[in-house]
Amino acid sequence: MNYGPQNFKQRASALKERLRAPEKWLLLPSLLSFAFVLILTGHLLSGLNPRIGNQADILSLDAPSLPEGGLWLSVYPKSSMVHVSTFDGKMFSWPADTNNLKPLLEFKAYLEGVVSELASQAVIAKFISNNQTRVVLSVDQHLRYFHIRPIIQVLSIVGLDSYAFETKVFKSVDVASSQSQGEQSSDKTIDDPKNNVEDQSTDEGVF
Amino acid sequence: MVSAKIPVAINTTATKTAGGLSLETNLNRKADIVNYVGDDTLAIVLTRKAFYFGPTSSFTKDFSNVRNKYYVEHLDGAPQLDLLATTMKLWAKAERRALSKQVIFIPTPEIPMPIVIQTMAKLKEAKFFDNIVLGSGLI
Repeated sequence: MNYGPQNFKQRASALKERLRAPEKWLLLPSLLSFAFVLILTGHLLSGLNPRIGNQADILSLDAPSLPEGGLWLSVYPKSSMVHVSTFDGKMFSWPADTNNLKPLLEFKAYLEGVVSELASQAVIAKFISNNQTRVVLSVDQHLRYFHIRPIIQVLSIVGLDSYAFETKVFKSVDVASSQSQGEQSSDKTIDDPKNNVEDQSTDEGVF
Repeated sequence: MVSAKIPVAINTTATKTAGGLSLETNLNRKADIVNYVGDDTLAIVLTRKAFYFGPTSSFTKDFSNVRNKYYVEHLDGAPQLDLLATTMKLWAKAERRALSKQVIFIPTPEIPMPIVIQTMAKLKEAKFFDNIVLGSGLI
């Protein structure tokens, strides 16, 4: 091995070049760990609270708060269909202009399974609270009563007698602005252009 | 949350035992008359133009009678919830009857859900009724 000065210079310059060249693989471990955290967070959080990613634009109204628990359902319109997403990630859809319960048979079967499961748990635990059997509907503001009517009829068919509509409350960080926002959002009229009642009279199911 | 109820029907076609005991008494359940849905239960119909209210019989058996139902018109398209509450209270006083503990609320199909929810919240806030039954809950 020649350890002379010339060889040393060559080796030093080669090392300098190697250190100067960007190492693309260095970012990979940090990106991998970042992606891992994102995936875990997405799965865990959505499992903990079904409201994450809720597509329904719910009404802002200061209503009394009830204890948490029960069967949460999100109802929102999309592409002339009514979509219902459940607390355990199931999804059901039917045409918005449906006037019978046939398209909701799958949804009815799902609810019957849920009720049966609740009944089994109640028998084993010898206890069931009113909150466990309350259905919480997170309803989009663009829906009308005839969109929700079949859902309530299915609830009564499967034997669920208690339900509630979820609303959101502004936190009074800035009292003056939140009060005005609250007033604006609650002063809705039936003929509000946002509600498109005139369109509704001619073509039901158009959003 | 704005809560609502679907009434549960108790089957009372069972024959009474000797002594006149009913099914509810046999099961040690106290029948609470005021929570029943009957002819005297107050019904409120919400249309695009007005609220109409009266006993359930005024919208069913006695539909043609114009004197047993009342209306509160909307103001520029906005439902007047406070006026409805006041008018119902005055009507109960004039009729010398107590408002039923349950109310049947029937919006017409084209009413937007925010209006339905706000009306239900207002009726609950007025503390006239224990339970609100949306029309869909009655099959």
